[in-house]
Amino acid sequence: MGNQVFVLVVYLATYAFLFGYLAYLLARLRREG
Amino acid sequence: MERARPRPDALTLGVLVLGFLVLLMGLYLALSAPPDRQQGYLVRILYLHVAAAWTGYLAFIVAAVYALLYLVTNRPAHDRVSAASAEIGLWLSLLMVLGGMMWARPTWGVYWVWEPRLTSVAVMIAIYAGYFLVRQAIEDPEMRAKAAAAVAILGVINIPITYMSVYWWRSIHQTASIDLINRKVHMAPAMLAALLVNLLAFTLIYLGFVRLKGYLAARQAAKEGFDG
Repeated sequence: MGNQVFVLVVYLATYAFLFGYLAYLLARLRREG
Repeated sequence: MERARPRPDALTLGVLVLGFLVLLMGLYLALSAPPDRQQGYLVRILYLHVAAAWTGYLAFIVAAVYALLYLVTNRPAHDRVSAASAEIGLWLSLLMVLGGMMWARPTWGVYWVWEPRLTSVAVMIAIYAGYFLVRQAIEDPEMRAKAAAAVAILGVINIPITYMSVYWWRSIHQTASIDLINRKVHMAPAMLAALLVNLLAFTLIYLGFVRLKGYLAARQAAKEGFDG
């Protein structure tokens, strides 16, 4: 059970990075456009 | 006369939306794939770790190809794609290393060990960190593009070394689950499906990110007068 939660945290952290990077790129495009 | 500002097109946004939808499908498949006999549920980190590693390699290879194209054609757009791809590759490689460390701690007992695969990955990250230091250090856009192209082309030599390191110097890191050298797949079909779908998701997201970065770089280049 502990391992399943740990793996889920790793997945959530990865998705947070991917969405964060997308948001960063879109924000920069909007700011400079 | 004001130049037309490049804007992300429907293809870029479509690829990104599709990429994130496939990523959700990848999550579902990863969570429904069976646990490993020895590692249990920890094996699920593999689906992200390997997907990030492969797209990282792809990004550095694309960066080298466009660097070569830039040196041949002198078109600044090629330099921009090369830089965009190298940046996304560096982020994906860092994601791969962090995911790998989270996996290594409960399975190997340590976050990091200086064994051949991890050492060659560290060298790879140092090379592409150096690539961006070179870009920052040179002000003249043409000189910057040429120097960066040289680093991208020389740096890509490390990719096959990194890939082959687990075969050439057997150590703690496992060999590839999809073994391209011996043409064998060392995974259950449900695990393979989860890996391939995550790999597709990361590839689509990589393509979308490169295109978005490319638009941003095109706008900056227009300000510098190094566009085209």
